Amino acid sequence: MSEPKIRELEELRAPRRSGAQRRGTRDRILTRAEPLLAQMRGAPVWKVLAAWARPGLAAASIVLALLIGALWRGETRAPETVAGLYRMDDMLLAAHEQGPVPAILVEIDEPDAEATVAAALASSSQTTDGSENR
Amino acid sequence: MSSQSEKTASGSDEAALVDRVRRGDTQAFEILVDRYSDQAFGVAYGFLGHVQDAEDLVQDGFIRALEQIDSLQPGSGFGAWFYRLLVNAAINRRRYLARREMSDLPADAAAASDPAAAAEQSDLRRELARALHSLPEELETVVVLHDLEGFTHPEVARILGMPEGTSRSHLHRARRVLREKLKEYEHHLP
Repeated sequence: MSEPKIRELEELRAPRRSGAQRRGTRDRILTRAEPLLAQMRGAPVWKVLAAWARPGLAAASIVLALLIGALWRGETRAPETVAGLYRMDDMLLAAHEQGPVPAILVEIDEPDAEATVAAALASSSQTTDGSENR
Repeated sequence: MSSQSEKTASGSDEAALVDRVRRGDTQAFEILVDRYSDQAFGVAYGFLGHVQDAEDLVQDGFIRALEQIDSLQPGSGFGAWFYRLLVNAAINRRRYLARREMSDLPADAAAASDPAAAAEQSDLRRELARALHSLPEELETVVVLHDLEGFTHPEVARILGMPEGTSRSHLHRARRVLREKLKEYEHHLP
């Protein structure tokens, strides 16, 4: 058998609201709801898609800009590498300007035996003088 | 009292209204507000026991329902879904108030001309509210919906997503516990 209703609980029922109170609540709900409803009204599919696409496009353009930047930097860095290779020649030339570079290092062709001997003799005579190497 | 709103709203009528609301139809939303706000206030008051808190909860409930209207399955009724949302919000709100140690219910209905009678009525109300709110939430919810707001068991079952038999057994248990608690209170009366 089910437990009978507890009459005293009627005490906890909500008080009756006046017409003005009910209208007030209704108006407040509708005022708060109107911007949401307007948003729902004015949002056709293409607008929603456009709204979604906007951040996507922004992200894609950032990625594109970064890619272009990376490529451009890659291109400008390439000559630096070549310049790096030239730098060895520059060092050799600079060394040559400071003093005689053995013919064996500057000649492209295989050294000529006479020239090598002449260079070695010249070098040893300068060393014995002690003037050039100091 | 039986829930007028549930009885007057036919399924197809509700589904059509919800569909219109989804498209931003203000008039359709107004109809739903007019249909459900009174009983929603009753439910909110049953949990919170305070007129202004209940008003605020009803307002928030309708706005939340509007925000989440797309989660309502197409073709289903608005009422049960909305009351479930409201009950959850009411329980959360009360937990929040309890955490802030403001859970003592003001006695709105104690505005009687006789101060002594008013005090006694207020005491009884407070004791009843305390007894009701000390029940497990699922039992309390069934009491609020069935005994305070007059929903039928099939309606309570639909709102809370439980079998009808569970709603009946919850109410049976809840009433038994409440009666025991009130007996204790009567013993303490002068």
